[in-house]
Amino acid sequence: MWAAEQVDHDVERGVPLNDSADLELVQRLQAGDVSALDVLMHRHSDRAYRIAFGITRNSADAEEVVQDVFLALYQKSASFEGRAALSTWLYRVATNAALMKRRGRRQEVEVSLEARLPTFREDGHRAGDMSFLTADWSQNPEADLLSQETRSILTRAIEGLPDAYRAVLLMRDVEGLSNEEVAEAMGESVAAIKSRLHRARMVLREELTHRLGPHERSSWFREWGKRLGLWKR
Amino acid sequence: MEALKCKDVIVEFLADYLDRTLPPELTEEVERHLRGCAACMAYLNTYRRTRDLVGRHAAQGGMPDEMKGLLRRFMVERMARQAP
Repeated sequence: MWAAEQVDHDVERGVPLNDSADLELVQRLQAGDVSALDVLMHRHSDRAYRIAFGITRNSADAEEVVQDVFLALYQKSASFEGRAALSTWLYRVATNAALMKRRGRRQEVEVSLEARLPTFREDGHRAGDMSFLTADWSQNPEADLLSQETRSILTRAIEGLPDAYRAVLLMRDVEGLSNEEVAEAMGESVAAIKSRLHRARMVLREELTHRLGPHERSSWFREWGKRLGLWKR
Repeated sequence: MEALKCKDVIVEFLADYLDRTLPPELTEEVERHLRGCAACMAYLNTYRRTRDLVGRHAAQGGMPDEMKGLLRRFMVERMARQAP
């Protein structure tokens, strides 16, 4: 009998999963209680799917990845010793499987990240037009920041990141994992993860500033100027 | 210590500054630079906002219910096949 109905609602995004509960479920699975697998699927399938979809951008691929994840869990549960959190292990399997799916399938040419990062003069100061450099759109109205157009720009920018950068960004800034957990899941050093995360965020910030920066700010002022009757057009 | 440049602040220290993992003396150096540099202050604000927007915009629902049903069926079949 499946035990899904007994599952609490800690699978919601961002809510830390209880490692001791996971360990108990794995022990039940090791003892032959397959209903424990159903509970584990309820606890982890949403996040595993989001990570897989975030990397592959394809629901069919993400579905296969999640199947691979839980099949691996079932087949390897006997050897799981609990030295690392089960969630980290699961996300590592999901990440690797998703990156494998993408390998060789990429048809788009990834634009070099370097060309999308902020630039600096030789003296270490920012290079570029001052109105762009000082554009602070962080206090723009929520409606503007949450508009469909802004969302589309952000989505395209995220999709344009190299896979390994997108994976890190999603695990950190969407799923809320720590640098250490992402490093464990990706099998890389914390320093490498931090560097990749920072570069990914800088690229997205550049893209958003092109959209929401000085030009957009002036159009916002124009709109309010019109409303207040300061000018007619 | 030589005064920090924009490149130091943005490339080297910004993420750790936001995570509050810089040592106090370096935090003070970063804040001193930020107080005198409108470009870096704007960068900090928009970088932080970008991070927040990613969390909100990129969030999507979990695995669709229909897919969860298929996952269960898949696992039941595989477990039956591998049962002793």
